[in-house]
Amino acid sequence: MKFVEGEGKTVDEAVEKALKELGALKDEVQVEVMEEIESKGLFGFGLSKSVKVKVSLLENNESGNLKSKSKEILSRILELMDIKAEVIAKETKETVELEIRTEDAAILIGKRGQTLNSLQELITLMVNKGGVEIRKRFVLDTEDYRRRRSEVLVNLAQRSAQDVLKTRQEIELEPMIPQERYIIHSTLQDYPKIMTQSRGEGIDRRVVILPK
Amino acid sequence: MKELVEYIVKALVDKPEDVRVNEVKSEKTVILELKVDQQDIGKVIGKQGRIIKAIRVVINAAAAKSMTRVVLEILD
Repeated sequence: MKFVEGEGKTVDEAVEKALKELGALKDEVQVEVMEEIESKGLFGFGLSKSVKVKVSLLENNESGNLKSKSKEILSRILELMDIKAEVIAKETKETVELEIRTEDAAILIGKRGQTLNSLQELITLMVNKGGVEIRKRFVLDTEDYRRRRSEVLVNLAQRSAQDVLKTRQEIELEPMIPQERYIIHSTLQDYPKIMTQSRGEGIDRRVVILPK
Repeated sequence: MKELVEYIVKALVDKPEDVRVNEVKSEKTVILELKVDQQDIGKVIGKQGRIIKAIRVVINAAAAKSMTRVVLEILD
């Protein structure tokens, strides 16, 4: 386990110093107070105290790391975009959700979520590059966009399925990101006479709804 | 705008110290010329231009706020 020793007048100060040296955040480490040294000042004036701590980087800190790191990167990007915002990071078993609170939500979402999705893709790559092993999906959201979009997609899937049933002709939807294609697939998975597939590569990948 | 591109690109490449962004400003357009190490070009462009496209979308959103047009070019 990687660790650093820090010294200061108070435990907080000592920990702070050690964290700086480690380049870590407080919730990524374990702190152990090693010794408190008290020395009386000259003529008994001003009791001076110094504390030594041992700060160890937790081995199992990857998920905590992902959360704070992605939040930090996103906040910095927003700042550079000149968008005043507050980022709230939440973690679930499979995802890190980054909610952006801002007055510029419209700009941030972009046409059909294009800007939000691009940011999401970049954040994923940038966090990944830092050497942390990605085991979670990053989901960016603002003003409840993902939920609203999901409702639209469920609707679209159901309507398209009806059309396919009527015409017996397949329908190809517009290109979508993986999480959006997943919504279409799962909405229609229990339709007995309908099948869904994904076609195309990369940013061109789209769901096709066909009769079974 | 230059700083935004630098920040994103530096986090994507293997040699962040070789990332250069040159800003050419005219009245309503800003041209950003990006230079990275030869080995890193693929990391900035991505499969089918996926990554550079995402970067362009983000800087255009930022530019929309200031009513300018931003063009991002990769020099090689």
